[in-house]
Amino acid sequence: MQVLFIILNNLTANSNIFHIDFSIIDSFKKTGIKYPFMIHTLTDETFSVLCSCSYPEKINKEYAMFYINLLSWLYWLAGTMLGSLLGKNLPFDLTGIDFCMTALFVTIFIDQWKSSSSHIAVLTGLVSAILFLIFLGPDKFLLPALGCTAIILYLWPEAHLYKKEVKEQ
Amino acid sequence: MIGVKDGIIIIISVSLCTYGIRLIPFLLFGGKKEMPAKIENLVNLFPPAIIAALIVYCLKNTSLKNFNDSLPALIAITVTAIIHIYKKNTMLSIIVGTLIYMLLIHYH
Repeated sequence: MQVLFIILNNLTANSNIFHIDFSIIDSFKKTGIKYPFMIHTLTDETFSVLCSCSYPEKINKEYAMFYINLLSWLYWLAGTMLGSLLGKNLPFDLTGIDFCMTALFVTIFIDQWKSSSSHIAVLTGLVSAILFLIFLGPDKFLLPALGCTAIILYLWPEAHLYKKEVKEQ
Repeated sequence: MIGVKDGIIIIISVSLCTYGIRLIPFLLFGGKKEMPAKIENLVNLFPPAIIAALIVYCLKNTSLKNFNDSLPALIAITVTAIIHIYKKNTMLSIIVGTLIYMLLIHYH
């Protein structure tokens, strides 16, 4: 269950990559053998650097893009390692620090609620999670609840109204 | 604490997700400029729904029976929400909310 929670977290955090993918697909195809690595290291940050960069004619654009992604990836790795090593040696009692995840979800929830006129998606997720929690108990409600939410949202006829607002964020 | 076995499972599944979510659009719609409308719709709508479900997941052990044990989380969530609505600063909301939660369970 904990693993599922982490996977879902990861999927939510990465979901906007879907949109980025479509706008950068053509430039990535030209990178040839580096193509899989470019896909792997594509993030919001690399995307914004890749797009805002001006590439002079005399440099090889494919290599420039490759190095942008490579460096970003290395910074990311170094930062994560540093954080993990420092975190282990902090001299305070960190019980309850995991609440920051809950707090993060609450802030995202509020931001999303404010920024869109249609609350169909959020309410579907919320209501089905609560209902499945009541009927199936705390240990196995999450996956059925999300499956149910996905089906409802896929079938929801007016859901396209919501689409444009999300894109503009 | 997370054990070695769980740690390995988590690292493998998270790397598959992270790479998969980047790879799938290239594989499925590699030749096209736009993804199918129905799929794009789901991609837009699903993450907010997951967030709502994850909040419920974080509070899954809250009930009226052990209301007293659930109080720190409920208070901290309320404070986080209020600060976020008025100050609109994600870092501030998370830091204050988490500190309050840690203090509450420490002295509970």
